[in-house]
Amino acid sequence: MTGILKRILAINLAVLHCKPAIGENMTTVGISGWGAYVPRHRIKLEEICKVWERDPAPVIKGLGVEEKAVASRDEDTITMAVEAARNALARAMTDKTFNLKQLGCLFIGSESHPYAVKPSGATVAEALGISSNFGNQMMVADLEFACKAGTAGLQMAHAFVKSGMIEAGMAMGSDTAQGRPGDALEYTAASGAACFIVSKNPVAELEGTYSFTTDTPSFWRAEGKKYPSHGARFTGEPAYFKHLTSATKALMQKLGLKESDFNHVVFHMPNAKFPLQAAKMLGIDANKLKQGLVVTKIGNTYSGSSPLGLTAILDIAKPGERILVTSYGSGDGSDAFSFVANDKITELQNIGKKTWDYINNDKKYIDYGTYLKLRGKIHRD
Amino acid sequence: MIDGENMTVPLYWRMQKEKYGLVGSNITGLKGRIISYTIIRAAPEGFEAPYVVGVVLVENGEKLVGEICANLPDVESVSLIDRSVSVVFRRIQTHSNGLRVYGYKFLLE
Repeated sequence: MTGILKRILAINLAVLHCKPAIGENMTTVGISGWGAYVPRHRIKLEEICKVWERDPAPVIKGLGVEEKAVASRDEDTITMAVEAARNALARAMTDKTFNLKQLGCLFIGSESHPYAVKPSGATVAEALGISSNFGNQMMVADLEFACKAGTAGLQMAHAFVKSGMIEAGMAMGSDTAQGRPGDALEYTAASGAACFIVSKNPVAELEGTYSFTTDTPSFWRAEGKKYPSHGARFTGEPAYFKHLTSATKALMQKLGLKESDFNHVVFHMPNAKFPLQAAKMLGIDANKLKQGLVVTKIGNTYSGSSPLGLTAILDIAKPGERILVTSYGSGDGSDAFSFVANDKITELQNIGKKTWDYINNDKKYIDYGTYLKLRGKIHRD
Repeated sequence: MIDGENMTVPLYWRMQKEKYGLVGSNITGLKGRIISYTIIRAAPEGFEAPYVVGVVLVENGEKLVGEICANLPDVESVSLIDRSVSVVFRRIQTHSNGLRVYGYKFLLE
């Protein structure tokens, strides 16, 4: 081989092996606005225990949850998503190059969509003034994958923007989770929503994402049934822990990262015990979960759970900090994400109501009877 | 005002821009104060009494009529005049055919 041919071959090989530093290609895409919403009403687990004649101490200790958020009777997945989205838009609007017309998709994940047939997302888009009535090219889809439908939307919005199909998109998780009276789920099934604006001018860049999915019958709600059923202890080892840890490990391997590279971590929060146990299994310092561990004060907000953990972290993340988020949805699957905050995040943190403000302020405690009424479990005869 | 189930599907559809987004107003972060209100104890079909309806002077100078999210009897013994509110998006009613009607309400600050 001549010298010139060797040089050409060497250059070509170098190009082939030159991987971009971030994600799948060089286009930087990520979160450019985030917003949380948690309803005001709270019911203490102690109050639920009183009704079902259970000693509250072991229940509260076992779950690591003190109280849960309850939506008002005039709130649902749609209204909470609108409130979270307005907070996210207020933050995204600080970027003077951003405008509502750039938004081309809206994905809303929930397992409590108000309609069996009629998209929640279309109403949310209309209320936000970004439907096609306002001149937007708007692709909307309601997503379902138990508690991970919100993060599935985040992956999809990211892919839409990264491919160049649209300039910016929205993804949200919102749920008014239902628990059968007296069932174990009743102690944690809660209400809340989180929304993210995804664009090419992010404040938290998405480094990469990895999903892990199998058919695992851990939790389900059949068509026409009001409340879900679950496999009790089966929801742990072969379900939550297998999927969440597998997705997390695969993401770290894909990106060449290790546990110590992350400053903050969010794992799906069916209770406070599971994410902390998963962190221990993965060798992650429990303190890294602290800021995003919203479940202790609001319960499991299902599709809003890990997204609300992420909004809580974005509220305080410093430029350069790396955030690990892994959702989990029964059925079963997990989506793992790695975000890196950049210099622009600080400006957005001073805008609007923060996640822990929603959690800690303006709370109104209710008794069990009011809880039943607000969640539509009892009606005036 | 929305008149119970008399708000037909086409009418609900036509009024979406006004009820969802207060077209003509800058809705994001809109705040105001209550200048008049009443407690409805005899509700039209499709609504469940008691609930509070009021007139709110919003920060851009407009006066709007709408439901005030408040728990009775919490507000029965106190005056709501001059109380600060923010505009929120809520479900206004659910028709017997399952259609949900959404729009703005006022949340006490």
